[in-house]
Amino acid sequence: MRLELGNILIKDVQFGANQGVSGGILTVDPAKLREMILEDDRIAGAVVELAKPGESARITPVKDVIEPRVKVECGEMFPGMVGKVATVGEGRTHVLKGVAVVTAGKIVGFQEGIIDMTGPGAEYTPFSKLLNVCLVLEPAEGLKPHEYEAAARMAGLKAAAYIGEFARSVTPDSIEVYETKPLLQQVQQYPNLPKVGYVYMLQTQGLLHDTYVYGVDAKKIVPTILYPTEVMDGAILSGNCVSACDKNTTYHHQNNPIINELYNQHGKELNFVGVIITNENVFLMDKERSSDWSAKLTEYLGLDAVIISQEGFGNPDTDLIMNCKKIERKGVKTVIVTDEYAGRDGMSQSLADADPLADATVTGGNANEVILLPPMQRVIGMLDYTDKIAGGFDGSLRPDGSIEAEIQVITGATNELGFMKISAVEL
Amino acid sequence: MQNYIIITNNPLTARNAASNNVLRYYEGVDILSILTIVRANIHEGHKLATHPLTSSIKPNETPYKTVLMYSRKGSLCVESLEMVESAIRVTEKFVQRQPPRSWDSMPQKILDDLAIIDYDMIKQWIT
Repeated sequence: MRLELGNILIKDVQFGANQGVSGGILTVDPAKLREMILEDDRIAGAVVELAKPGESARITPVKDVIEPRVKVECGEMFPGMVGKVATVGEGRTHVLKGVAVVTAGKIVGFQEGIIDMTGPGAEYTPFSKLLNVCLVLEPAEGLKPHEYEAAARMAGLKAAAYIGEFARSVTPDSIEVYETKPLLQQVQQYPNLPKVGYVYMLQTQGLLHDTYVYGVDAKKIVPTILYPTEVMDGAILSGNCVSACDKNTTYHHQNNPIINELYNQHGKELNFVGVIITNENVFLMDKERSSDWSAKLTEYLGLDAVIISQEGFGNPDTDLIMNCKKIERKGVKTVIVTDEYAGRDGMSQSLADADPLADATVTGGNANEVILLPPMQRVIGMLDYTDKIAGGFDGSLRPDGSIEAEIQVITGATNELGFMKISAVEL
Repeated sequence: MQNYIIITNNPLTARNAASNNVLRYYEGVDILSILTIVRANIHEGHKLATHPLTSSIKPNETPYKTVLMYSRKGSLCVESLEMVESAIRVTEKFVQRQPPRSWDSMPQKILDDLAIIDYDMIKQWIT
């Protein structure tokens, strides 16, 4: 499978009636965008606002972040959700690079998810560096949280596809090509390099904790194999936003840095054979079955090593360790990627589960670290329950609009794909 | 349909559980107490069906917890015991570090939403 990503570098985004991309400037008509979103009668109101890097703006509570794209050839946008069911990961996709659609709305009262466009909080989220087209979505009266979540999820995806369409006829500034061959050919291409796979754990535990694969709720799948380009091309979509620091937005799935880096090393240090997707369920029987299958698939693919990334904290630690142990026992080396809840001083046990076989670990940071977010001139969304958010505490929201909370309130702060700027340095 | 012992302090779970299950509803008790009750059931020979830590809402961020156990009794399940002991340790750690809010003063809308998140994870098996 061969995917061409045509990147169109966007320098600025503005509102205007003449929609499209010209000279690196994206123009969006907010009235038309709103009209399209309000076609769904589950949504009673949609406010469209722009948030640019460096502006004194706070977006909250963030539901999802999505990169606007268009399938120029082969496949559908967000198959099984916006587009028809079709396999993606092939042909040409145009990307409006530097832009994101950000959806916000209070689906449940304790929901966090903050993107600050400037100040100390901005350093903790990669989305502060993007030109964000924000949609604040109000539900129809009496709408249940499940229906509101589904409507908000669809509104974001439809908006990203709508804006992405403006990229169809634009000549990309750069074209990146990614290719993975059918398994036996791929193994033969670099016979002397270690065969490396990626075990991609998807959060699947119910409302605000779900992920979708080609439109299927991933709690209903058994682990399976994808070409890496399928993931890059919209096969996996987020329904997931609490707690915000370590949940993968759709943008994360579209731009998974583990997949990118494995491709960077493909043919040099390793042979990147494919992606195994698996889920994180509530029932112990399901955890056993899924980890059995992910281990079995690493064996079936003949892998020498895998990277395993987790999504979330707590009981997914059990899935992570089950995957790690069972895969190691197949003779396949593992590196796990997680984050930590190690207390505000970072001194406590970091994970809820552990095993001696998990001896190679990468962390996305300590979600309990406390941060003071200064007031912003503009709030896109609402702060009405900020004292009640996960990661906040009584008195979190101060009268001047500043917020003292753990960094788990910040969207993407301790992302377990490594999609952020936190890193370790040796002193 | 498999029936379960439902150990919960969540009124939404208690209201909706189908009658073929064994409902043990502990109104108003905290999460740590729920886990301690679960542990006692494990010592009596029941096995865990669901993981005692659930969702991304941390143990000090919600008042509600529902755990499903298999109603059939057998010999002590060491794996279940280790899992609940670990969950108790994690819960104690979170609660000691940042005690939960006073739930009595929490708006009902937020309590309802927290109840939905806990219930949503297990509803398909108990209704």
